[in-house]
Amino acid sequence: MYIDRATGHHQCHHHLGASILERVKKALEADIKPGERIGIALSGGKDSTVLLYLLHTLCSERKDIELLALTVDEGIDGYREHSLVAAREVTRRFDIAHHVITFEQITGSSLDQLVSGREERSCTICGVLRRKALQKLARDHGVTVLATGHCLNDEAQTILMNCFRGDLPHLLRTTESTNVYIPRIKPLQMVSEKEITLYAMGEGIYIDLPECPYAYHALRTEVRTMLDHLELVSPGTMERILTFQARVAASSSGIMREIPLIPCDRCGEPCISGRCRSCTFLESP
Amino acid sequence: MVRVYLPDENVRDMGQDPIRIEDLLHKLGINPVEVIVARNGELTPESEITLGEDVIRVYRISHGG
Ligand SMILES: [Zn+2]
Repeated sequence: MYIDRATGHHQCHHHLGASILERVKKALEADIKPGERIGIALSGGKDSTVLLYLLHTLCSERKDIELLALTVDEGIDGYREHSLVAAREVTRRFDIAHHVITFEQITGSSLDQLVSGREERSCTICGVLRRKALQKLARDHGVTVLATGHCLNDEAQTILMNCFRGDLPHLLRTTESTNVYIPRIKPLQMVSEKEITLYAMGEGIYIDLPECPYAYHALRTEVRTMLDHLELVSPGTMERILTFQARVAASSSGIMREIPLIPCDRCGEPCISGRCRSCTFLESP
Repeated sequence: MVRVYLPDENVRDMGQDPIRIEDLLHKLGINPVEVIVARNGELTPESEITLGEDVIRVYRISHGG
């Protein structure tokens, strides 16, 4: 049993599952065309595992859509091996093709080696490289759309963080140029972390992995605590933040100048300044 | 006695009086949005009221993945 705080309704596991499936289905209908090859970014943790499970359930009726799972192995000793095992098991169980790319393959070094001595920047560096690795892996396997397991909490936090940083391009997502990057979708963005966890537990697919040893999310941690409190005293806050962002982005579309992208002079990856962020990290000591 | 097992492995005895799980969490300084609660081994909404010999287990929702 679960209580939906926004409506005050109690839901049994069956109804929670149906409600989540409905939201994911709606997201897919808007974003997925026939013939699509969906690459699921699978870390092996609970969110991406639930995403894989739901897409597998929904797409088993749609023969015109192909699913494959993509995992980035950053090279984090004592942490990534566990989630890799979980990712392998779940893809085997659902008979979904699974491809892995390592940081070593794209940079020559593991994350552990790359951030040694600058651990406080590890999440930023990892995020930039992970995005690059995922795009490469997706391109290599003919993926037409990338699905990530970001949930309602993640998305609401990111929107507020962009506000607090005064980062308008990221807030309005004018940086996501779809003619250079494989488009990304977030089918779980209207599903809360609590719903995902309860659903995974009820379906017997819950995976509790240790937190990443490089969890230097100073601002995100602050924003998370604040948002969780607001969600408690004013249920529906996170959903309203997403609705607000979508409205602002829609009404400003065409007004904000799209930032032109040029190839990185070192690796060819599209970027703003002629040197992409991952090459910048790799070159700086 | 209602016995509560916390995410950090600590155990707290919360007395005999019936109390809503939500209020119990509040007393313990835990935001219900951030945890999942099981009563006597079954997942339960925080609107439920505890009874004398209940065993409550609080799981912290892990981030990411
Ligand atoms: Zn580059």
